[in-house]
Amino acid sequence: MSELTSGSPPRRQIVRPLIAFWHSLDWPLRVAVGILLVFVIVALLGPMIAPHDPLKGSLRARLLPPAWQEGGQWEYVFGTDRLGRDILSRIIAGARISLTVCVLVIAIAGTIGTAVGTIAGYFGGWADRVLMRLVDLALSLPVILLALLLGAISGPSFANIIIVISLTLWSQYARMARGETLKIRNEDYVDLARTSGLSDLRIIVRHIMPNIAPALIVIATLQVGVVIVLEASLSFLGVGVPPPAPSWGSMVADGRSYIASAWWLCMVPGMAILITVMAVNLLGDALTDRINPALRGRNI
Amino acid sequence: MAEHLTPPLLEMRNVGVRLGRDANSPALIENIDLSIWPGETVGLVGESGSGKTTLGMALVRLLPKLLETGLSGEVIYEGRDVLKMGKAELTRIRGGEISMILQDPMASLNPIFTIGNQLREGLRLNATGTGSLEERAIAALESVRIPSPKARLDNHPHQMSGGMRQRVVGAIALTRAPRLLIADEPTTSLDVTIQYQFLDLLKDLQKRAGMAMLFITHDFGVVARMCDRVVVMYAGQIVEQGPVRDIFRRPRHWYTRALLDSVPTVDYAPARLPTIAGSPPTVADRPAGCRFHPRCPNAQAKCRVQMPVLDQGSHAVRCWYPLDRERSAA
Amino acid sequence: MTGAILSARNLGRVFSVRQRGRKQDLHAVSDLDMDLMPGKTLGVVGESGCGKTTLNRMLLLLDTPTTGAVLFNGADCADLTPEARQEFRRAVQPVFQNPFSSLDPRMRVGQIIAEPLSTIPGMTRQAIALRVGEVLEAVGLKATDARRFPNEFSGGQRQRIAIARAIASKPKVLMLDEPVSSQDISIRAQILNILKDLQDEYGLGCIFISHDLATVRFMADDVIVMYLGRVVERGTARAICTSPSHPYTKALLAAALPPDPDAPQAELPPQGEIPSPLDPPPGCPYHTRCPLRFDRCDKERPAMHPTPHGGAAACHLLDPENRA
Repeated sequence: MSELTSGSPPRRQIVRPLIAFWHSLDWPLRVAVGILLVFVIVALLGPMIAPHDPLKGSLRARLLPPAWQEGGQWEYVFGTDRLGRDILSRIIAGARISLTVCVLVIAIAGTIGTAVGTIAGYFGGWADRVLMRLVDLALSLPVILLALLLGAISGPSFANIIIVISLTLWSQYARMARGETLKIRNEDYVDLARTSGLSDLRIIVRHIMPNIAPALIVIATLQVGVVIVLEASLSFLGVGVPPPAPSWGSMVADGRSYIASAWWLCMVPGMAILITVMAVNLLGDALTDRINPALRGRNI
Repeated sequence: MAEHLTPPLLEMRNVGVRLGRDANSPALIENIDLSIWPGETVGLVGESGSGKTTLGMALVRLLPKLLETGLSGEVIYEGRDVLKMGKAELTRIRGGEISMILQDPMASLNPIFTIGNQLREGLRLNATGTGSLEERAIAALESVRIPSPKARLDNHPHQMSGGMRQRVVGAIALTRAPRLLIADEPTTSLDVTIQYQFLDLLKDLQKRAGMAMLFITHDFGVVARMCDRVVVMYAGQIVEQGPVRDIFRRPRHWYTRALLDSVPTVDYAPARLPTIAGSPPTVADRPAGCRFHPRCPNAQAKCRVQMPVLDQGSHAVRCWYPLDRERSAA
Repeated sequence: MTGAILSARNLGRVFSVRQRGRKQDLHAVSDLDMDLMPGKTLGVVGESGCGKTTLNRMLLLLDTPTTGAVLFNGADCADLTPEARQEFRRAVQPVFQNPFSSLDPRMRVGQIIAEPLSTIPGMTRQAIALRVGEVLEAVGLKATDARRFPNEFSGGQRQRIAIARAIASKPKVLMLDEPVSSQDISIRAQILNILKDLQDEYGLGCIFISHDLATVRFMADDVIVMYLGRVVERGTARAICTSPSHPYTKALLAAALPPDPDAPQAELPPQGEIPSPLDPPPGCPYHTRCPLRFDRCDKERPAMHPTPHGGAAACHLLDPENRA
């Protein structure tokens, strides 16, 4: 059959594919992208847009319900907690915490995981076997128990949570990187790079990495949701981000005993988690559908 | 010509396939007028973008949905138009009276089922055989010269070589004794010595069954060996058709001749091969006028603006200044 | 043979494969000798399982032989110093069959072509850009195509890009593995002509692997015919393609259908299936399909005997002591 090709450079042009991507989304997905943009902007702007200091409470304004309820005030839109701290400001600060954790974890886990997976896939043999056993080991680590253990030993800290979550997630990158590398290393252009005298490292960096990148980006996107939930869970259990930092998870924990009387203490951060993670997952699914056939750079 | 005394088995009239229902969408193939008589082998030759595979698929309406809506013209088989047939009738004809074999045998065979299973499925639909299904399946494998047929019935496709698989595909295609077999590049993926034997087998089967064949290929050697008549396609149209000897010895279209000249042979090695400049156009960028004119050594002013029509006769050509006309004018 | 630029001496490659839980030896290539003289083309002809791809990889040093040696300018390639190895890499360049997997879809054409030049010390950016433009024009494309991406080109054009890349480092040998098999007929002639022209211009030696005798006749000076990992016949291209001695070569010739409806029937038409290299027949590997076989053929593997056309073939029928 005839080739219905139109040439368009796949790598340097980021803008055009993004616009095309936007047009290809239906409305629920566009809402998801919107939510995520809001999340990122709020997280980045943080203290600049928070109406109150998330850490300082006013004892006179304790346990105020949200503004639209009876007894609420518009000064504290989502109400206040038991120490009189504004929930909205804490949500905003919490977003920043969640985003920071996400970025750090994905950077660390992504780098380590990709390196391990690529080396295992490219070299094969005993390197592959050893590294993949390591991955299997990492996959069998119980996250929560590990976090609790670390928390018990050295007390809750920001570093702990980053380490624990990264330890859990790097193996997913490794698996995906290895699979994609295996697909590519048998392509002729990899052999051609070898016959041009390029070292293995150069081949991995110049040929393998750019071609496995799309799949890894999808993983990263899907992991954002996982990281947020993990961080929230660990903070809820008390071994996450140390107090008084307003992580969404610890906010939910704080509000546990007030569920019947001051439901907003749990619900607001809970909804924040729900909405953000749902948006991330929708986006990740949409990307998965598109990454595999479209961005391969081949004629269909 | 003797074949003109009897009506054709299949007649395509002005068949076209567009990329969609809109009359402005580009046509993959158009103005196809092609007849196939009983028992004859017609070769359909062309390169990428010629539309030869689309033509084969259109004949039995195996096109993807988008192209199906852009299908036009008539395909008359035994007085009825295949393109307007209802599902029931079409299903009866497909596989029964008009059968097809494709390039990749693994695409035609289900990897999960044994070949005995797949053969019996086809045989079950043909009530006219004698003997048990098992016996008939073995006979079918014998007819395609597969050694130890009884053992082979329990094989799965991946346990057989490419050549054997293609023979099994042939056996399945012939279980219901079709009157027309459409073969789309059936030997392209086979080794040459296996291809030779498979073509031999096809010829033999055809003779015994009195079957007509539409043989779609890009290989002139195969055409020379198998075909009685040849149809040459270029950029979605028929540019030349005629008896096989006429096409090979006295081609009338510049493309046909250039193509024949560019094929190397074992007999001698020139310093360079004659070539056709440029490459076949894609559906999107077909030139105005004669579609071959940008690559034609004899392109005139008329060729650039006006699309030539296929003339009449047993050896027809679509060209304003065909090769034989040039000679007779001189 | 002295003067050969690339040679194989007693080359063999055995793969250990697991079939149905058992470990088996697959002899992909056995006892292979060949010589490529500078400026000449050696055709390697064979079908599936003959070992031509494995041979190609060994000659490119992408795979290490189990037995025997690959020689470059007489020196054993297993003992090359890193500098000598880099020199080999520059001097011996491949073109593969599939133009869609030969070019990294994420790199621009110019970068793809410049890659073999990246290991040459002392080449400036300008020198590289100049050379890239030069080779693009040499294969019939434009120097400005360097900025574009592979998916903007047709299959035939991509193969030209692959050829341009292969000649960028001014190699001495081109290893061509079925370079035109996946192309349209009208494109094949163009690419074959380009290859021939480049060979003349640069004085390149070529190894041309193909299953198509007609193409090999056009391109090659000498030919070796392979079957199940062994050379069964060698000779000039003309001799192999007009008056071969080995029954397998005759079968290949018969199978090379000429574009002539009145071509005479084949002398020895091919028969039988190609055996699996995992389970080669005893004695002469071709005897299971050979219409001329006799009792010696399944017991003893034939040596290479001289043929009437001046080459050699591994067939008992050519054995001068065979008076049975």
